[in-house]
Amino acid sequence: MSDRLLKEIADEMPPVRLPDDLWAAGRRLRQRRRFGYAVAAVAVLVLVVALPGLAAHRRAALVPADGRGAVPSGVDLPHFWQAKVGQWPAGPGGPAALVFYTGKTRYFESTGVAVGVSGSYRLIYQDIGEGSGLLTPDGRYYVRPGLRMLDLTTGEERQVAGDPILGQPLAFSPDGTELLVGVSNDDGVIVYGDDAVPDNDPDKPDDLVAVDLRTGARRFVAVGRLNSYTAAAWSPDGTRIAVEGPVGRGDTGRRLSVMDARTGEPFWSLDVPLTQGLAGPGAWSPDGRQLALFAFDGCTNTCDQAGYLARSWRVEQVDAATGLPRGEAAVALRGEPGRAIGWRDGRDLVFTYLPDPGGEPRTTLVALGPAGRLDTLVDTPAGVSGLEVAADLVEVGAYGGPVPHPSIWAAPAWAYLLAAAPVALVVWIVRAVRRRRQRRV
Amino acid sequence: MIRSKVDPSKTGPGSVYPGMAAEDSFRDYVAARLVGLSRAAYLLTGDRHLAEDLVQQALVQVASRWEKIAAGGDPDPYVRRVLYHQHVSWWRRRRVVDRPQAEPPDTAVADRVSDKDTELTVRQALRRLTPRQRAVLVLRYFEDLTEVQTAEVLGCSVGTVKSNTRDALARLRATAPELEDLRGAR
Repeated sequence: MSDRLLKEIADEMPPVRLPDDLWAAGRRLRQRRRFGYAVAAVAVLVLVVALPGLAAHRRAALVPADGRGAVPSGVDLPHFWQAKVGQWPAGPGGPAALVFYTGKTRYFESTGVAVGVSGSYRLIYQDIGEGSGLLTPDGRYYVRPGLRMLDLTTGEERQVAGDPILGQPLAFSPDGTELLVGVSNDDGVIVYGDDAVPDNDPDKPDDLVAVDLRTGARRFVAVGRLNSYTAAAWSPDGTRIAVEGPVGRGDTGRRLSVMDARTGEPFWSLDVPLTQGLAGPGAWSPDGRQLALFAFDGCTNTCDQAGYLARSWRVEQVDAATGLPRGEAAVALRGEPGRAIGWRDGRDLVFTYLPDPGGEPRTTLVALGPAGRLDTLVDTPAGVSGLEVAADLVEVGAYGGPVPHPSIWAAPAWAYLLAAAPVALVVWIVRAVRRRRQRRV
Repeated sequence: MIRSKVDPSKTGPGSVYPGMAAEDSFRDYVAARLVGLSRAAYLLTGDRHLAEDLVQQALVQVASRWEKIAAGGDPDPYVRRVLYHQHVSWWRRRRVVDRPQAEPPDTAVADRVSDKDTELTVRQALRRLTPRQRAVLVLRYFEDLTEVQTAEVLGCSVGTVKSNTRDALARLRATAPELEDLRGAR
């Protein structure tokens, strides 16, 4: 026994019956294999071509050699599948250079988009009816109305200590520790003004509160005084606060006031027409001497579309010590100003701007240069409806950073699964067909 | 056995089938090797149906690369590699499920009645080996390959062949002492 025994066992096996198309089956296999090779070669080629681009994209961060970062000179709309801040596996995008708002996202509602100093794009989902928040000067937190702080470096969101404040964040103190919030005292019943437009109850004026974001401590800067607080600005040295808001029944008047930042004692107050208002949190000039106002000629409360478009806007300057005009000529604007963000070179007011109010909404960031020249600092595509910029970058005048493009890979896990599903299905079908053919052969 | 050559008149420099259409030369080769391939497959799988599947799949693989194989000279080493790797691959992918043992073929040799019990024992013992061990035994003792040739077919080292052979024989001896004399084989 041994070799012989093995051979005798083997002898029991008759020659295998072979299918007629054995050769054809081999040819088909060869074709499939060559097709696979071709697909693999194309995939490798695409990777070889695309990888350097992707790597370059990753390197195209907004952080220059000094590591400080800069406001990008433009932004793109995020991808439909762009990850939210902190969403796995993309993770947080890091401190933001700016936040813009657009309805052109998968939520089909106004959505915040944080553009990181590293060039990342992350979505900030806004609840229905939620107003815009503010970006802390260092770009690390996005503060929502109600004082919910979204940490852009971790994706975690927390409520500032203490009871939630139902109010609109208005302006950060120069050192970034305190946030001015207009706290509404109106009850839930809508009060209608003379023009049947819902407005604030003049019998229940709002309060102005400074909230320490580190501890949640609240300090009442002003109690009452205005129906509501629609804009506020800290003086560069942090000692004074300029506020603006409606007064009178039906919000028919408007008051501009500058007060002591600690005691709330007003230095001066002026009733101004409805066509004039504080430019925004960056309204105070760096030297502390003047305040920027936006004003317009045209219809006010009852405004149809044509009337709204017919408004002509201008930038005015008033003396911060008195509230009186400084005698400089107002600078006319072709579009509509939004909110003042800061100043360029201590001289040029930087503000958000709707260059074409009659067209598709588009908000850019511009600087008002000498002789009324507008320099676009951040260009945006159509559909961008608002901008927030990290004040620290504005303060150091770091503009003109490269335009970051949203990474297609910064996507939530479901996007990867969605993309992989058709591929997995095709692979499964191919394998199933192949197995069936092999069995048949 | 699959070591016999096809018609020597068809051999020539660069190819064993110079001047022949690829499909014709493939059919000639299969006709000449089918019996040996079928038997080796049967020893590897221990099942006629699985052996049939194994041979068919291996030959489809061979057909898909036939021009290159034929141009390289003797197709046997490549065909053997395909057959044995396919077998191990089946096992790895757990494609081979336990099947009821096929009925003894009608062509059983009449004068082997006395060896029937031994064969049954050996068959059962073979079934307890790993695919790699079975492959080593079939290559060494059925196809009469040396350890070096076996290592080439299986794509492993000679040492692995030796250890696999040793382990396979040990396991066979434990379950089929009738195979004691295999120890003395090459």
